[in-house]
Amino acid sequence: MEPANSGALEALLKRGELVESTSEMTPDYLRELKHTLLVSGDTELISAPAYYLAARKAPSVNAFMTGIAIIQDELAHAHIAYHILEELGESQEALIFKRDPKAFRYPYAFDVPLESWTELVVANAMYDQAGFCLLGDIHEHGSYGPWKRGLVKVMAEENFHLRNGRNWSKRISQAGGEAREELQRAVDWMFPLTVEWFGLPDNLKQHSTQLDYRLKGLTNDQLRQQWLSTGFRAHSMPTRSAGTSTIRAAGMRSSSGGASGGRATPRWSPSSRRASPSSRCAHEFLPAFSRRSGAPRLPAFSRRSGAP
Amino acid sequence: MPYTRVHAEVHEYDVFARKTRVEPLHQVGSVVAPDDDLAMAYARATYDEERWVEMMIVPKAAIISLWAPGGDS
Repeated sequence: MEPANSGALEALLKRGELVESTSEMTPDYLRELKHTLLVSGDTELISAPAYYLAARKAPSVNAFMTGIAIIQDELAHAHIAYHILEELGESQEALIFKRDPKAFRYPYAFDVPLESWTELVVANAMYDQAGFCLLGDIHEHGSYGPWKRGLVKVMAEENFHLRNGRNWSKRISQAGGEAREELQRAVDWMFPLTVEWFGLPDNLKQHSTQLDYRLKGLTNDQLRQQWLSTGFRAHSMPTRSAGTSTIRAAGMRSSSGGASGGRATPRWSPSSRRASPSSRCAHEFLPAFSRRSGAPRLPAFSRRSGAP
Repeated sequence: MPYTRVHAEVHEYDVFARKTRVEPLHQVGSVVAPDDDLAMAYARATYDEERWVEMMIVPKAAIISLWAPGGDS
């Protein structure tokens, strides 16, 4: 089937219509769409083992079942992204089971293990909120019809994850004492890692093809600001204390006033959105998906030294 | 042992559902499975975001498209 010429695609996008088939895409549009879907699918997939390690520390059977339900959701979300990729000509089997673990693309945050129920619920409140902002933007503004429709389910379920994170964070915060201190420590190290989810600051980006093709509607800075406002002001999460802090994580240094201090201005390593060669996910989780001989089982491990 | 797919031949199914009696069925997604029984199980487990009053799956191969966006019409 002959690809649409760029003029026809441009006109369709300008009219605010949805792209529904590959015959309407240019090769550039298809490449950008696949890339965006891959990052989304990989992030959802890798969140499952990351959350599982922490869900095992749930304080009750009910809490554990909530954690497992969230993991099931994340796998279904990954399935949706990979399945759309399959419809676009990729092999779902190859993407999940045969890819080099270091080729998976997901935020650096998932390379840092979650080791407690408290860390899991803060991840729900922060990471899932970031995912909610990013996917909500695609759901609202995205130009590819099948993905836009697939995200209806994803948005409904991410809402449940956020509620779990917010409710438990509030509960732990109100308990005070060591529980609250543990919560604060989790917020402290996860905050800069979640800022990283949104990519390069706008002033360091040359050009956004994703915006041109309406694969997303808001810029990185707009999405990051949305996350800062919806993720922290709407509920009683303890936040970083005000004042300048130096954050060394995810290959960046940032002078930030924290959530209550307004706009963060981080400098980014261009490699920060790739699985680090030394990451536990790249070496242990992802090879476990592969069914090669001697593939390791999902490991129990401690946070690596040097992590924030 | 190298990875091999459990079933060499799988089929694609579209999943339709509705939340209330007054609304029409609409497509909520699709699943890939080797047979109808597993496709039903996958659809039930994957698209469980609502308390549907009705859900059904249709083999994609059974759908006859008259026209579609991007196709000749």
